[in-house]
Amino acid sequence: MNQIKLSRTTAFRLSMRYAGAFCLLTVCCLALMYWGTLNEIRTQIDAGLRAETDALLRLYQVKGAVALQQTIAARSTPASLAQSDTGDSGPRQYLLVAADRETLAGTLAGWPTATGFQSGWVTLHLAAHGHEPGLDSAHHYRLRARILLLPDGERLLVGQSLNETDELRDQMLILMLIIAVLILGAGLGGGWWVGRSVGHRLAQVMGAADRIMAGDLSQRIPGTAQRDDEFTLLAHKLNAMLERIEVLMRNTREVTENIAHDLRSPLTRLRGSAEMALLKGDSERQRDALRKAIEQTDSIVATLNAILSIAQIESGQRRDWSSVDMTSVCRDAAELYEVLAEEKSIRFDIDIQDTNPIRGNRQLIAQAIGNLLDNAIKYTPTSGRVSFTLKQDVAHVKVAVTDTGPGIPADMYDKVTQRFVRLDASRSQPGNGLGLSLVKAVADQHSAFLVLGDNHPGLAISLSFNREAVQ
Amino acid sequence: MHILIIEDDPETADYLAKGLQESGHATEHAADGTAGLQRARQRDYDALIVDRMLPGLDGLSLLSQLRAAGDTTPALFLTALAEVNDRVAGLQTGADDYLAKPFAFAELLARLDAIVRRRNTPATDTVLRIGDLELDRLQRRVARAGRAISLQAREFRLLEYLMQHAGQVVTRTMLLEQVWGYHFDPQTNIIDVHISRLRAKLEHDFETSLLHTVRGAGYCLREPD
Repeated sequence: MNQIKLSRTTAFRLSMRYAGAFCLLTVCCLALMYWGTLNEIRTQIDAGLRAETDALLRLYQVKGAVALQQTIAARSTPASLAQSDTGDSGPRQYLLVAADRETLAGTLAGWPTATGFQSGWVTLHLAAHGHEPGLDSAHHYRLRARILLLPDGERLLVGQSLNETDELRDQMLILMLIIAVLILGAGLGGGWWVGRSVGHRLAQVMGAADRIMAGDLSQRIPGTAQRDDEFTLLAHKLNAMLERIEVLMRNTREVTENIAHDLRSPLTRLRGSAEMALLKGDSERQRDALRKAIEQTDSIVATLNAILSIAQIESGQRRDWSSVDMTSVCRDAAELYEVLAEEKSIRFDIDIQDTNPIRGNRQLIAQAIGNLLDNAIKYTPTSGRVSFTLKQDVAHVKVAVTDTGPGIPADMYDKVTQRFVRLDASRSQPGNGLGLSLVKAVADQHSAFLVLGDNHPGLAISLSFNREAVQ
Repeated sequence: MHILIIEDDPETADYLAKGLQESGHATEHAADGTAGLQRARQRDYDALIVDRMLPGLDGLSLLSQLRAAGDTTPALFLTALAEVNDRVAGLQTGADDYLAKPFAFAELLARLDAIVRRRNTPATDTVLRIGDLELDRLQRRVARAGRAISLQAREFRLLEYLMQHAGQVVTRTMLLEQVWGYHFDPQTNIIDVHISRLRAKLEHDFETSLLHTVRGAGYCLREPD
């Protein structure tokens, strides 16, 4: 279904159009050349005839009619003609007739009937008699001739056959035909070849599209590895787009699955508390059950909000984007969380340096940093140590948080930034497992690097934002 | 207070009305935007509770029409969309506060109280007093019974906000928003820790308590009985 009829492909039609135009141009060029050459030959022939007749006329004027007749008779002998035969056009033809049209001398059999009797230039169509020297091959030929009316009534005709130009014309016509056929053939072949190879590449794209539409989102468009042509670039672009679509689709599916999965247990507990409250007559215990039910609801809502805001961040929309002063964001966060560390007798080392601003969403960045600090303090045991630093180098503004908690095994680094992953399967610590996923989502949205590492002991996390370009 | 509830979901409207009545307020209800706009124009209410999504006329348009007509009745937006962007849009239209569904009723009451009193008492006093506690906003000094209490900058802002809303319940999210400028829930008891430190500074060596915890709602700074 992805096979397009070759004659309908753009490549084929373009090739044919170009071949046609090229063909026309070539024929025009050849025709111009032909006309140019023809004119040149004609001019030369006429000049030769003029010189010859003028010479014969002078002879006539000086030596008289008899001398002219003898000269022409001498020039009309086959030996003389062969000598004057200089090229393809054959020997000159002569004819001298008396006033009564009786032939006096010459190569032609008699005065051509269709020809007038006046001086001037004529082009004659003659039938070859076979005895005209050099012309025996042609049955008909054209003769360019100059006719002179001599003072005593004789007519002198000196002519030259136009065989050469006629042959040139025929050759030119054949040449044009051959060239036209060749060009059209090449165009047709090229068009077919280009159309076929383009069609092949497009068929691959369309095939991938078909399979994707059939539900296989992992399909990619094959590119040509060895060439960096426009199709490979297009394939790269389309593949990048497919990648993004697949990620978004997977996210959507995961969000749905996670909502279903992670809300099931709190909803079960909620339903349980409500049911128990109904069964128990004791109003104090009912109160307790209801309070618990509200707590469960709040936790469900918090989880839902977290999932939705992560999904919204991951969708890539950059809302409320502005220049963010990281120093003030970090100072605020440090001041907010410092008390929490103190409560747990955790040493909280703060090193916040003045940095350049970055571009981003202040609330989201604050939330991400808050989550990092919250996690660090939550997982660090009493009398442990948490450090919070803000530094910058030439290109980046880097927030780093380290703790002396249990840390994360290196092979889990990728895993923990996914939704709902918590290392303690028992879920003894409060939280919905979305803290680091939110940090990761915010980092991705801001094109920042989230790096997890070992603090020996504990976890070291850093977030490197690009410095805002100086305007 | 006399409160107009503009909410299309009958159960939510009912729940709001009952809760507000139990807290001693009178309520009226409009089930769609057009009716709500009419009611709000006819009578002078103490506060409006407006749902963002309404049939007929949505909450944003309703409020912008009211504000355009010079009506300054305090308005609280309710919404299912808890996004910062919608918050900003709501506040720009002239809403005084913004609450995402579902919410704790205590939160609604506290916020309603705050926006109504904010209108009634413009906070221009340079010195705030609650009992023997005194806060000088110009000098940035705090003293209790004449004895100076040293507070950090943020603690000062916290106390200032509590004193401006003395006698009212102030919730944790209100404090996060107003004192820290955070429009998200850090999901820890962090505000409780800050409050207990402030309380320790305020009430150290004093018999009477000023800063009270209101269970299931938030905090309240009030004069001793």
